[in-house]
Amino acid sequence: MLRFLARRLAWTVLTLFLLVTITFFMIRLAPGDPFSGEKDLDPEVRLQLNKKYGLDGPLHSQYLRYLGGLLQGDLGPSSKQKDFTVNEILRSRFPVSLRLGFCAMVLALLLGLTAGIVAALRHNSPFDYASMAGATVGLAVPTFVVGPILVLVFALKLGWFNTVGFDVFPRDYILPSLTLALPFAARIARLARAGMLEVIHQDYVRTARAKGLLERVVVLRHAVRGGLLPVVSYIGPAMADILAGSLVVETIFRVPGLGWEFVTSAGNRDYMLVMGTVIVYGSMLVLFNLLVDLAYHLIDPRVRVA
Amino acid sequence: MSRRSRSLFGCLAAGALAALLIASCGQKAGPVSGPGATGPAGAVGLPDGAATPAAPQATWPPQWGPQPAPTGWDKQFEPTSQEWRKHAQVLRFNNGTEIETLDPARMTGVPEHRIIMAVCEGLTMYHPVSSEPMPGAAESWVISDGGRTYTFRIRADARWSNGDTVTAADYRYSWWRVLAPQPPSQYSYMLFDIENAKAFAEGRIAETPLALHRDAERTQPNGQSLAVGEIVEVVKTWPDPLPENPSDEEAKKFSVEVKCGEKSGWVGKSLLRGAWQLDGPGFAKVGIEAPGVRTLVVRLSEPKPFFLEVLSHETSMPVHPPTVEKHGNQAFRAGVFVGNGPYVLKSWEPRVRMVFEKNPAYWGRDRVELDRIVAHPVENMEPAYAMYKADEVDWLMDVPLAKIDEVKLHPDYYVAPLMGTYFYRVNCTARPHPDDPSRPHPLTDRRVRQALNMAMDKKTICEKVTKAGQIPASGYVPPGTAPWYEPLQGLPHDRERARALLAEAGYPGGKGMPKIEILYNTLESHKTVAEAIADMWQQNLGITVGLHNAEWKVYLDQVDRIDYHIARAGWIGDYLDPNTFLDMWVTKGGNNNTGWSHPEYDRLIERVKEVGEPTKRRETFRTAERILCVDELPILPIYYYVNKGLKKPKVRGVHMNIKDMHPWQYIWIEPEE
Amino acid sequence: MSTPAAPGPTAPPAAATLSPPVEGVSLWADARRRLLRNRMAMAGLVVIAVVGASALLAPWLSPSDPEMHRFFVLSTPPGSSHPDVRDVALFSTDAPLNAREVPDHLVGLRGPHEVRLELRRLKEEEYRAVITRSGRVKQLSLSEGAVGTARVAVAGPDEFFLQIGPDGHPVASPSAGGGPLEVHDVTLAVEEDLPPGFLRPGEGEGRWVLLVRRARARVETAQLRLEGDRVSSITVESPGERARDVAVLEVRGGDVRGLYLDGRPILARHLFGTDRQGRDLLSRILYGGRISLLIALLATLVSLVIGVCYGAVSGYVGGLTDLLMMRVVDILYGLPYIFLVIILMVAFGKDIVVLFIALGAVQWLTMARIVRGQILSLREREFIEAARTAGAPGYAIVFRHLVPNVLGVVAVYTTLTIPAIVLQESFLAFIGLGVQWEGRNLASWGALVKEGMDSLGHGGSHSWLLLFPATVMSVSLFAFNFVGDGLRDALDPQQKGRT
Repeated sequence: MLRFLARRLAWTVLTLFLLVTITFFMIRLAPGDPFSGEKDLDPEVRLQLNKKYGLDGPLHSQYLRYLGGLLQGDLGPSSKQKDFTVNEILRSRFPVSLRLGFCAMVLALLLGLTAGIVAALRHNSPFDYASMAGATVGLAVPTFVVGPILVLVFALKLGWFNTVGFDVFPRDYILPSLTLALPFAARIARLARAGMLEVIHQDYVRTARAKGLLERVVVLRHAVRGGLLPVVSYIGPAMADILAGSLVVETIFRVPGLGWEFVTSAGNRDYMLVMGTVIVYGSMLVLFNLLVDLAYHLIDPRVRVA
Repeated sequence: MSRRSRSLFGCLAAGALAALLIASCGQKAGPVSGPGATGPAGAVGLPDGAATPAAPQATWPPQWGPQPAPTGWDKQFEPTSQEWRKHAQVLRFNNGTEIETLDPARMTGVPEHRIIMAVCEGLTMYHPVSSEPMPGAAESWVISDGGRTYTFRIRADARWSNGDTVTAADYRYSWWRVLAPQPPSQYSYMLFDIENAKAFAEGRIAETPLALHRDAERTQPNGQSLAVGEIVEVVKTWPDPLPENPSDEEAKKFSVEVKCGEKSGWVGKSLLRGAWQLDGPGFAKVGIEAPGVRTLVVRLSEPKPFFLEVLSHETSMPVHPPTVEKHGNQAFRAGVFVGNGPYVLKSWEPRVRMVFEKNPAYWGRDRVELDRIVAHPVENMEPAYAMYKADEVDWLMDVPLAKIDEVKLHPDYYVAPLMGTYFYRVNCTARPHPDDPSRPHPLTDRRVRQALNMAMDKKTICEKVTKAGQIPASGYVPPGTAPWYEPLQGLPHDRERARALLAEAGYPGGKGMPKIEILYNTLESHKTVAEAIADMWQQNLGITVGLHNAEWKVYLDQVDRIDYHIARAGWIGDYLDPNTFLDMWVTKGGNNNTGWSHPEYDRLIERVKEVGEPTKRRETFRTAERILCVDELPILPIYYYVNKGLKKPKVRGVHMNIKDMHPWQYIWIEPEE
Repeated sequence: MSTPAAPGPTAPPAAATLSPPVEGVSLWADARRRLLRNRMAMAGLVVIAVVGASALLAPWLSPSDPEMHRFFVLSTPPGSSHPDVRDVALFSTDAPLNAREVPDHLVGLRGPHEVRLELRRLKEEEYRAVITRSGRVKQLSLSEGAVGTARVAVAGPDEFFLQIGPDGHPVASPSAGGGPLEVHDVTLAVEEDLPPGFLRPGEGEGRWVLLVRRARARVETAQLRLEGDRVSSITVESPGERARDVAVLEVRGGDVRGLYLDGRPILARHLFGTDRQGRDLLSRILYGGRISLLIALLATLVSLVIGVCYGAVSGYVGGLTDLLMMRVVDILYGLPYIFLVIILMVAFGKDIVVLFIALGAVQWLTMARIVRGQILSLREREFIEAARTAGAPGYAIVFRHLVPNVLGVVAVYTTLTIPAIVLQESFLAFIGLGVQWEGRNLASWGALVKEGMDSLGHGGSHSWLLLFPATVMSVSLFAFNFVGDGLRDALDPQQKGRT
């Protein structure tokens, strides 16, 4: 187990290194520069700006300089939010996104697993159809429709919540988390149902039943274990998608998070901030995948993790 | 000033609207609206071309020679009763975006300007109605030397928020900061009217110690980087001696061995410039002097009618020298920031809100009514509109275009002229026809450009597409830019003439015209306008029109490289003079970006600088604009911008003006009736 | 759709010999039988067929050009109609009419005919006044963007007359002096039937907004004589003026109240209403379906092929290969795909092909992971052991034994992928990266839903702009999901022989 972890960690570092490299050169390939605007910029001033924000010199030396800074934990200055460094920006935005993502994930799992497992156990029942129909709706309606409609109904018409903002727990968290969670809950419900249906007829479950175990035990200890493998393997990418998908939600509800920062910085060609968000985002991703593999290990002992 | 505007507002009624605005709003129209009325007392007028009766006598140039400054605070804009004291003086508004910085030297945008107006005060400030300059931190000034020298007297009671006295030296320091290369200032050119300022900024003032100008990377001797601005000593040159008067190109090839403390290395000659220290001989030559604690003398290289306005600009705002020296980059944060404006920065949560509270040290504190200002940075108009509806903000400075029909029915909706023009650039660079290399590209033919212009139904665009009250533009300088300059009546919408011109150019019915693409940056409003215009051109001229939607930075890049056929553009004037619109179209002008070049036009714009006589000046501008918008059309004007938004009636003291600048000192909260 | 339905090879002999003997029903025939029995799935298939066919036949089915702006119509609710005049915008006596310029009703007409046009020349201006509870005019703004406090007199047609008196209160009688305005038509911007002179309560407390549209109208009649495919004469008649022959007649949509051909009005009907630019919504939805489905199908295909192969190989081979392959997936996954798309779109334009490659290239990652996950747990199963013992080569084990066994999950995931891609695309439209093709903005369903969402007023106005595209999109996605479910049930090899 320890060796496994050590090896995975080594891979993680390599992954992140590649990620940094690819992103660094990809964002630099895109046309446009951080300081261009509708008004013309004096070339001399542009040079000074480039110098100030570490964008001068040949690209490879910038790259090396960036890596050097990265090793010391310095992510550089932001060329758009000029009074702050990337470290400061990330330090304040990341926890917000994480909180939002976590709330959404918990909501999604809660809703999705319940619906999916019950639907599978009552295959072809009205509940099955209803929950799957609900899941389809959750999948079929874009977040940017769900969000504003929730705002319209619950904030503007009923006045239960603020329209935007992310200050007070749990009041300000409910609408954004729910908006973000719905499509994921739907996916989880579908995957859980499909997975459960798959295993529910398998030999070991039948054996368990034949042993005369309580249905509850059969379901919770045997069926769920195998049936939820697809869900488990989905959690990693889902968590990533939630972090990314929070972009729309963060826009609608004005949540000061990473996703929003990421897209604006990409649009503004705030290279350092783009790199910073990608690094945080990438690290989270690798971390979640690591956890998923561990979970696989624990749930299904037959899986040999290389 | 306000009286003039009011009468102009009356004039506006001439033409189609005359009948509607019954005489009561005409010339006499006194200040109906004391503070009791939400309706702005008098919008800056819209002179309506020919209909303008007796345009006010041109006020340019101002009478040179010693003259006292206007008195400053205008009683007219204060609350008349004490009624307002009963209400919480809190204003929440949406600033539209997260500001880039709180450092005046580095800021560039309008949202930044709104914020800095709260925490800092320039020597002059915008008049709440006319947006013309009026006394700010300077209580008076004297203009002498034929408009070249300005002597400002700073208020005796002007204080920084930490209690320090605001001195002339503080302004000198702040402007030095703008001109010196660190921190790099994108708008340093705003101060280039000052004598030797440009030369100093570029390091071209001779007889000062040499410093490393840029790209210190290449010098790296022994791996030690020399920093920009470090003063160096020349040790040896190559070739030795350097030839006299080499060209710039040649000079780049010469190198110089320099020494800077322990570090040394070779640099290109072009990298060496005069040094930029505050107390060095270089800056001493710049026309900014502080002979007394309260006296600041500014010398300009030539008379500039709009220099006082420049002093209200964000770039000219002062910073508190000790704080900046001590904290550097960290000086522009809540808790550290020291300003001399009516408000102090209480807290700043990026992407959430900025909170300002009344500055007890401000000289005019007794006249500041709002206790607290909250600025929200919501970029997307949909949630911003929802916030307004839910009473979470009091003032929205823009509205969602897609909901404009609904928004217009809201009683709080307002719309007023803005000094800006929405137009299309046409790529005029000489190049061959894509299908037939023997012919020139159709867009290089001015008849084609005229045809494109006349085939656009701008009135329909304003009334049916943008719908917020924009004004169809056939000229380029927006109405209200200067009282003595009425908007040009350019080419009308005339489909038949457009077709005839196109045929004359050799493309009858659009035959032989290559496909033309409209480049615009990703935004719903640009998209709908482009789609409508494409449809009009296709229907009216029979040509094929494509759309090219590019992300903002990509769009800028393409415009900068003139890599487009037709490109959407917008221009907001910097100061109240047609020059801010017209001087950008000179050959190879930094903001020209169309490849258009017209020697006569260049000559006219050059001549304006020398022409002082008002009618002549006006005529020169007029001729130039006629070349631009009637004969040549490197740009196709579409509409004049308006500022539009939603504002609660309880927000008093906001006067719509053409620069959309509203000094916070004049605003208070008092519910209606 | 065609992949699972096609009768493929049955379970390979190596495995078959080890399976319990069954009747000679092939896996696929069995699946088809099950699928046909599943009512929801069949309904879904029908919906997909209908949607697919209508998308395919959009150019023939849609009532008008989806990009045609009608500024005189702007947004109108479903079922509205107006004279279809855009295409007769210009008649010229010396040029033959071509089919493009003539409405369908006129095409093919031979011999002398007369077309009668009744024109209304309108000059519209809009005023906006905010009126307080006490009736005082607070603010008057003009369409030109000026704002000021002023007293306003607005005179309506005979039955409606409103004037704001000197005290700022509306006066309901014609003024003696000052002269009423030459206003022939005043439209109150209200939905309800308010008596003339009354104003719609605005949203602020006790204040009203009066939107007055003033229109001067002059009725003219134009008579067109068609001979063969040419217009032989145009006569315009205005009241109080003599009829005159003109060479060119421009009929702008907004000016036309009636267009008559042999006494029958020619109308354009908008079953689903029009959008804010007056474009026919039904046509836009039909064309939008083409775009959305094309993107979704192609992108899904890309993701399916790459994802299944990649995941299967990775999961089966395992070990270092698996690790390496999954690392590649992780790295690609970590790349912010919005960049990928932006950079691709910048390099190659915002082209539709670029978009589906970009979307497909992102989607296969998840597919690969899911397939790998399944294969990991399947490869330890007895039947694989058996195949291996029987000496089946690796590729055969992967593609003939393992892959068919994960088809259930793959089918389910594919049905998730199609809606996911439609949604991804709408997400891109949301941040402004709508698809373009040859210089046209392609309005996919996602883009239409986004437009509808933006247009939806807080009071529920313009709801049809959201309702129709959203319904069509959701129903189609529903259908895909039910078909996917049906497929899953039908294809699940584990259930074979157990029913």
